[in-house]
Amino acid sequence: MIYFDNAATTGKKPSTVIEAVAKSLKEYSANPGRSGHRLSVKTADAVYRVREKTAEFFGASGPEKVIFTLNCTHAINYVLKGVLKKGDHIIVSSMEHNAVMRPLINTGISYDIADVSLYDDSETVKNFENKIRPNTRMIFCTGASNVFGKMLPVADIGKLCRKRGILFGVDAAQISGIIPIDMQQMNIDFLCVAPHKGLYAPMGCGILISEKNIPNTLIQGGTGTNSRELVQPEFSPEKYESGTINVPVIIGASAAMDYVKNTGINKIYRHEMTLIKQLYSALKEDKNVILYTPEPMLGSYAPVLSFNYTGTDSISFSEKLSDYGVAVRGGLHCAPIAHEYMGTIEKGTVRVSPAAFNTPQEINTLLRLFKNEKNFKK
Amino acid sequence: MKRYIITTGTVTYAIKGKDILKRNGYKAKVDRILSGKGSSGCGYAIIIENDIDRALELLKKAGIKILEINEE
Repeated sequence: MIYFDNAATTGKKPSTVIEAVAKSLKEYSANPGRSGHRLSVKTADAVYRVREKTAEFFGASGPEKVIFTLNCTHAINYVLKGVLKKGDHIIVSSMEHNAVMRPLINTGISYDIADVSLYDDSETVKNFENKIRPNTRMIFCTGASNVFGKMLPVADIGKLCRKRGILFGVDAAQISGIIPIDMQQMNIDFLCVAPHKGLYAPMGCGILISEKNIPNTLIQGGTGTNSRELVQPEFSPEKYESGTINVPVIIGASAAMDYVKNTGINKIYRHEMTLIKQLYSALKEDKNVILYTPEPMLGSYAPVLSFNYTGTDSISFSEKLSDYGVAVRGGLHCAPIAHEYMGTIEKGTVRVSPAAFNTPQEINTLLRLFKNEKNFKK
Repeated sequence: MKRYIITTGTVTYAIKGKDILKRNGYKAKVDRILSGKGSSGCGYAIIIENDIDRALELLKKAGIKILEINEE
């Protein structure tokens, strides 16, 4: 199968990642931070090295800021539910995923949505600034739309937050491993990462990097420390990691970061965007195709392209492609507000998201399928 | 020779502290401990020998959260 659903999860993992997971199951099979025996301490040390590497990869101030969660959504829940309190106000973007919107609605916290301009990043920043109120506690936004690929000007929004004394959180699901992120330079207080996407790690853990204390923990339980106390310990990261963490996947994530770093994050991104541009240029000439964004440019778009094919809906179209051996994603991509904003809420879109292992030949195969209209007409 | 048990809040702080002390010439290791005076149960400690004052200065400078220090 030709796999173009990498924005959901990268379908092919580097062999070094697979080997690291297997090695972890053999060599780090004890519970870290629990028992004092040699294997447990060795495993705890291995996990600590991943925290160190992650902090360096994302420009965080220290390994203790790196918290392993169940997934990126869990990390986002931690930030929104753990930091915000009654009376606060938050601003999110018009491109948010339900990973942000649903927990936000659940908190009952007052919020505003800032429109994302597809053409002018300074306008996007102004839109955020115009929504700031005296009680605005946080801006939380996606790094790039998981549907339309548009990247948000994260560094500029971070600057605005710092200037106005507002906390800044980023859902980096679609940009981690795609573009370099430096939390300190970009003034990011909370970074939520989905390592199984652009970092090519296995599914099964998320990462929250928190430069600020999060007062409320979503879950409480055993941490391997302060065990006489019935209240949750105060120190990060264990405070937020009750229960056993997913060591094999965390070790896999470490190898995945090595893969991205050694291959070159910019090299991977340029390759993916070349494929996107190849696809975009051809689809632009196809009278049956509706595109929604300007031509995706380097530095302004993540490698994600949405479109529709006239005469059919996005889910049927994606299913047809699956029958022809191509994996894409149709529908609303768990981002209804982005579809509302772009006018595609009724039929959704077909999303193509290439990764490092995809080739121009695979894009050509996809385009050849499009050329035969009867493949897709109902 | 004096031996010091520096109890940290977490295993993460213990390993971070051990690394810092080793880089600064200490022979340091991480041990799991049950309790010391005033301890709140199981935890992790950095074990070092001698020159506790400099060690504490290095750890505090790095933001390592220390719960207690015991001497053996």
